[in-house]
Amino acid sequence: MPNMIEAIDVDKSFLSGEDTVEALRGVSFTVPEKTCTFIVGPSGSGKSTLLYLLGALDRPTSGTIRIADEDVTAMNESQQDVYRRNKVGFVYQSFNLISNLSCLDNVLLPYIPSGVTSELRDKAVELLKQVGVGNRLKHKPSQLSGGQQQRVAIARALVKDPVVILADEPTGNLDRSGGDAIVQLLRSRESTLLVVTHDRRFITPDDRVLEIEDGLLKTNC
Amino acid sequence: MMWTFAWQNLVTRPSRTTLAIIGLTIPLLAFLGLFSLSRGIRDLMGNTLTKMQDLQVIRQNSPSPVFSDLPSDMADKIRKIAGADVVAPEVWKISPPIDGKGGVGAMALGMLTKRENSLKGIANLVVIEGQDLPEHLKLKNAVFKGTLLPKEKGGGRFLTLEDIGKSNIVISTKIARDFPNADGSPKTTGQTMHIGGQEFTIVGIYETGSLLLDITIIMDIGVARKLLGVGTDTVSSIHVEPKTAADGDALADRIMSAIPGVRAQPISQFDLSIGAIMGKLDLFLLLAVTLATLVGGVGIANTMLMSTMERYVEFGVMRTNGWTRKNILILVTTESALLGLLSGAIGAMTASVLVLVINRFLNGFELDLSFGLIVTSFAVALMIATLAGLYPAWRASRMTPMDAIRKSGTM
Repeated sequence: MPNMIEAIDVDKSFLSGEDTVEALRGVSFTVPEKTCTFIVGPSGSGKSTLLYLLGALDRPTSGTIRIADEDVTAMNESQQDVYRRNKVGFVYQSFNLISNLSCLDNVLLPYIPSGVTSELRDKAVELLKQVGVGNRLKHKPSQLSGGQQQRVAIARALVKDPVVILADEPTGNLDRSGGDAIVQLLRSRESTLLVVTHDRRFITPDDRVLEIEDGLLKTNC
Repeated sequence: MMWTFAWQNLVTRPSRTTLAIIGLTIPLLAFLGLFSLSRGIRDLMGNTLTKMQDLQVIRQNSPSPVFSDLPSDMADKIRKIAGADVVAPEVWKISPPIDGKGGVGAMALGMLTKRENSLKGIANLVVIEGQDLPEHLKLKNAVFKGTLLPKEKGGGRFLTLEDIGKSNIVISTKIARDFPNADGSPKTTGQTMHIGGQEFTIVGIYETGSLLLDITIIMDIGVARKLLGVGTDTVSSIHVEPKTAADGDALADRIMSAIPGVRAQPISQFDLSIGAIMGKLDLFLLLAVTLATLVGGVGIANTMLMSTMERYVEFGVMRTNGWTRKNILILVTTESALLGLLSGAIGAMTASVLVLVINRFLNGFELDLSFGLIVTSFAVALMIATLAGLYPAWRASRMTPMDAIRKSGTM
């Protein structure tokens, strides 16, 4: 199976006051396409930092990250914008839906600047139905439960047909059954999935695991 | 969709949006109100006199012919001055009560008793002009004669030499309306008016368009003297027509040199003076309103800045979904432009209603809210709000997704 993600000797350090924090140190790994990978480790180990680098939200201090044969670390800002709009879907711990927009418009958020076509609207409606909130199209996020909001967030990530879905603690604000349902939903897609989590109960034998501790990749299996 | 999104962002923060709109609407109301007033004053003055080169001679320091008195033999002295062509004496006084109404006493009483009467009283003031008809009929630039209504509209005729010694008058359409018949219909030619207890026949009706002039009843100077108690040795002013129009100013200087204690000036000077004063007033209004509008703009900037600071995470989410800096800039600027449009619309509507209401209580003077003023206020509101939103928009657009993550602790 070809690799979707390739990280080569990635370092990330930043200043915290007068101290330099080395969040990632020489991290290298590959992720085959259409697989599910869990990034685990204690708090502050560098999991989320790695996810932000994969999503082109931040740049590594050194090293290279290639996703779908594109060097994410060499992109300029406008290329990163295009990459985030077309190639990668984000799912956050705190859902991060736009409170003023309906569920449907939240799903269509990436296309608001360029204009929403009827095809895109139909696609968004279909996705909301698929994730189980098809009866909440016009509802505002505040009218939904946490689980329903996360489903809308997943639909928003999927509407772009991303090659990679990056989920940062997607079950962190949900109860156990809600968390199970969300992970199941994410697994059901055919995208390459990377999930940062503290909760190892979601990991199955078929999944890949990247365990990070103190910025070092401890386990890659 | 961007406009819809921007609109939703405003309506979901109703208190802040309302306060920002009020902050910009108030200076816009001031803009529309003050310039409506300015235009109203200009309308009141009219421009009938602008092109007149004729001179008016009155006693020095008298504010108007009504308060001036000159010896009657001064007309002969002026006739001897080079360049003077027609020299026409006039008697001007405030009219006694007409049809039992008005007059100085009634006006003063109204001003003392009811506030709303003060404006009506001033506007209803009527003055009598007694013309030396043999001389006045020689004038080429006679204001009232030239503004007589067409005969088919009931204009009648102007005074002639046959009216000397007769109780015939020419009135304005305003006076015809203000002193109507018993059934409320305006007075027409052939009907009569009682001025100071005497009966006068209306032979002509004029309309200059200037509410300062349209308060004049014209009659023969001899009849006016009897009515107003002015002796034959006195006149109020002398209308002087120069032989050549271009000689007006020089002739005025010659008259003032030859006859001490008088003021001679082109009648057009009256309009020019008013125009100069109004120009300065407009400049002052513009400065005051500009300051107020800038304060309104600062209010919008503050609102948008607060709004964008609260929405860092939201902008971060947009950036992670492919929104560019330019997209964020456009969104925030659109929001502030919408605030400007709303302020402009509310300001225009409120000002229109207020002007209508206020004009109902004014008589003889109206605030003039033109379409051009409304369009200008819209443009000002839009421009100020858009400019005020640029800095908050720029700040929001400078934020990176990682800034949002750091500010929120987590996304």
